[in-house]
Amino acid sequence: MAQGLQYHIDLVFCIDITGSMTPVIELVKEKVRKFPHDLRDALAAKDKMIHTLRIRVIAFRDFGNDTDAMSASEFFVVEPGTDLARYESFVNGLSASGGGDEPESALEALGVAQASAWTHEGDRQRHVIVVFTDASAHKLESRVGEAPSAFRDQIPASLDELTDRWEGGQSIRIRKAARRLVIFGPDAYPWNVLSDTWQQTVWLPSQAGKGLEDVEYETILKMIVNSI
Amino acid sequence: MSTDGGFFKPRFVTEKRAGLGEDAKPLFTHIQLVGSVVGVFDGMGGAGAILVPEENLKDQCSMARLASRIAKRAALSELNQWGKEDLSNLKTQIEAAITAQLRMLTKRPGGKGPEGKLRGTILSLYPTTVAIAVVRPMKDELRQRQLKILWAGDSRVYALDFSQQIPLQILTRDHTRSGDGGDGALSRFASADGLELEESDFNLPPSAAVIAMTDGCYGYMSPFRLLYTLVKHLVRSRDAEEWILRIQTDISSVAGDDTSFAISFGEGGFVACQQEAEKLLDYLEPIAHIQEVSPPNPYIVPFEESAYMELLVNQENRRQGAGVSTVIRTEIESAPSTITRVDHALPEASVGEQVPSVFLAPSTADLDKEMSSEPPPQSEAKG
Repeated sequence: MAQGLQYHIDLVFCIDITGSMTPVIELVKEKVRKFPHDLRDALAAKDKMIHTLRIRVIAFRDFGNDTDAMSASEFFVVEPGTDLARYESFVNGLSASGGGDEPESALEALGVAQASAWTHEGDRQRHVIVVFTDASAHKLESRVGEAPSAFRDQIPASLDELTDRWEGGQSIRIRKAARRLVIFGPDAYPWNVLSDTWQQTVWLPSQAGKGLEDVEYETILKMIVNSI
Repeated sequence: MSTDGGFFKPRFVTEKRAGLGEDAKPLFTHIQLVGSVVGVFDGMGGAGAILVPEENLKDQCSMARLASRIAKRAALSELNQWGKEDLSNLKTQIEAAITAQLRMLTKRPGGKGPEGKLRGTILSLYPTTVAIAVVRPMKDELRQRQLKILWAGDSRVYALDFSQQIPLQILTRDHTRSGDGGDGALSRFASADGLELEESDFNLPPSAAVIAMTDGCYGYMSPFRLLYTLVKHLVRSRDAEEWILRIQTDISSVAGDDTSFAISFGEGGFVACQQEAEKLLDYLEPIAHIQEVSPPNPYIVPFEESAYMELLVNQENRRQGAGVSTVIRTEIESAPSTITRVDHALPEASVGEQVPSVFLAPSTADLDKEMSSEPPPQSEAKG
């Protein structure tokens, strides 16, 4: 029989690319680019085998302020490295600007991430969403209809609906046993709410104006590895 | 594998990463007035990933690693001090003892990990599974044994009895959240926030062995492969020590996790178990030697499982055709040949918890038994 279980891991990075992220965006991009290698190595150290690792990137700003408020990639197959170059190219293309007022459209990004075409292949899957932001988020209820048409049908109209999808998941493909939410965000709405109420969530509170230090990146990586 | 104090204890624990394992060394002891005890404790690495000071306050380890060891020690201490035959309050006392010890860990300097760092519902303070089985003889002429199981989480207790139509039976149900499937988050476990053990009592036939094991043992092989591994090495081993070593090697070689396992043999000990296993192995070998290489599909029963089920059906049909079933029924009525749940309700598929499947296997109830005796195990030293 095969040596242990093989994991099919889908990971969606939701990255805040508003202007306030300018000081740290290059560091975030660097970590996101090297993440497939680091994850593979960290899992191998725990004797956990990745069969397939796919990564999707959703970059967001503020629907109420920016015309290019969201861009979402497809899933790139990065392990094996079929799409590695395309993945890196997409990440390299991200730049921080815009955003307007401080709350951003992170909950909309979370909605789009939830609605991803998550894998159901293999004997064990992990569906992981990782959010990088330095800001609070607009309430979904106050922004109904503002999302670009390409994403509108993927974004719930309220936090309750978003929560129901996370906890129930009937309308989306995310598996309850497989789901994990890792948040790197400030001590503000909605991160301090989600971390207390959504199952399978871990939150590393960030400090305003401070980016992603190595120790924090290591913590996030470790959290993801341990949750797999 | 353990030979503590010069007396062999049929148990093992393996670590995927040396020195970082989250399974405690299994509980294996005999306590006067209480009985034989086996137990496993699996620190939850995801929920208990935060690094905290070790007990010596110098080194660091994960909350999960420390939790399993402390929970085991608390349970063993409670059992050692029990001092009476009545086990009716054991559940409450072990719950209190484990919770108190885990809470004390949080009160140490740095006992909650770095302040202000990680938060979230995935995390817990010193989380660990618990599965404890207490076995003791009943004072009846049928030589039955009483079994009390206390557990929380997905560590399991099995009965292994080749006189049963189902030789390897899961006696616990995993506490996983509803709809989460086999690898879902646990809905019950021990932590500094508390512990609610589930309790089940059984009457066992004299020949039944009781096994406690963590998910590293059963989670990386099919139920058929687990039974086959136990049976194959039972037959091929000279003694219990070799058997434990062999199954430890096989199980840990495929497990992507730490593993721990302890067994309390039934009447006749290893030798009786081995003799019964020989007959079963004849049925299992032909299936085990065909390897399915197609990728797993959650909607299709794997070959070895379906082939084994088919074998069972054919066996049962043959037995009924030969009129053997009447004999079996007579035996059940007159002899202690079945495992029966005693004073707790059968597990319901209650909201939020999953009932594990029972694994069927051919009966050897109509085969002759030959028992041998084994000395009772010695008590395990505290700590």
